[in-house]
Amino acid sequence: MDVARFSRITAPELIAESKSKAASAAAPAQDFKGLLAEGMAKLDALESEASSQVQALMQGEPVELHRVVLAGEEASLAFDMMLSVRNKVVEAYQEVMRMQV
Amino acid sequence: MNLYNTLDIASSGLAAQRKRVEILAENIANAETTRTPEGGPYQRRRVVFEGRPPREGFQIALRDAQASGVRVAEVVTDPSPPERRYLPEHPDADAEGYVAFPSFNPVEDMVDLTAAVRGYQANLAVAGAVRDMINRTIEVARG
Amino acid sequence: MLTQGTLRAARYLDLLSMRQRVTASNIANADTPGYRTRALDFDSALDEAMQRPAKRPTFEPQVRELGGLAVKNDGNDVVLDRELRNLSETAIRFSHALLVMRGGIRQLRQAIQEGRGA
Repeated sequence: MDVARFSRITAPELIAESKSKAASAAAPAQDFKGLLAEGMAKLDALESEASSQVQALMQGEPVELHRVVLAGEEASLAFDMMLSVRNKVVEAYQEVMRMQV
Repeated sequence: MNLYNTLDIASSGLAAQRKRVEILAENIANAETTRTPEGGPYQRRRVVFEGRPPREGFQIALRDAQASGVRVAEVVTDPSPPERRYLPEHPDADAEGYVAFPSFNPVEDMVDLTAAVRGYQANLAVAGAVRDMINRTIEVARG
Repeated sequence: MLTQGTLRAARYLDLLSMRQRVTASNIANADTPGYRTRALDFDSALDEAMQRPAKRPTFEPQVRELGGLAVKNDGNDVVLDRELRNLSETAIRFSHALLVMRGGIRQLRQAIQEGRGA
């Protein structure tokens, strides 16, 4: 192990690093909400795209069947994704609540 | 355009070839018919095919106008003169004892019939292949 | 959301569907006077599709008259055997491309579900 590497880390650098880490940890609280909203909007767009394609097919419009299937699968994947994220978030929340301070 | 339109093209082919077989069968059945409501012997008929754009009345893109189905444009009557046979005993015999029979070319009609059946089967193969493609695509949605 | 591979497979399916339609047209018109065998400009469309797999097709392949086939008395040059061969080939390729698309979707679903409740 290269011991010399550690000796190069000086105290001011360590402090600066930990400060920036704290800052970036505070920011996500805001970002996550935005991310969630963005995800929901995307999911909504995919769902409506899928259902409009199904409707077009039903009305005899020339849409390719595999495109309709793909749009449906994409919307369902996005939904699963959101569900997974939500479950993870709830899990993390519960984990935090169980923590003994 | 999609696979359902392709199925339409195949069924247009099936309908056209079926019509052709019907007319040929009529010709063969009437090979000896000397009396018709229109007067005179039966006249051979045949179908004339023409291409048709898929799904008429539908908004179609230019490239799709190039892929088309088929339809029977008209059924025409063979203009060739009747075959006169000397049969003085026949009720339809003329003053000279000749009877006008339809001009019948069994070889030609059989060749045509074979081609029609082959064409019908080929369109049936298209319909089968496309139906299979549709079913497989739907299976993807089932996961 | 979808992978490039899945989008490529979908574009390939677009082209195969078009090609099958052209073959269906040739077979339906095998006895239409004056009809000439048509072909999809498949290779160039495929190249384009593989380079830029888009969610929505950006380029439409051209259908042209194939030429080079023996023309019958009625001006028709459709060779049924050739068309039937193309029919099967396109159908087989289509089912393979479907498997690729399905595989891509499944993989993604597994990746997502792996994280659920773990």
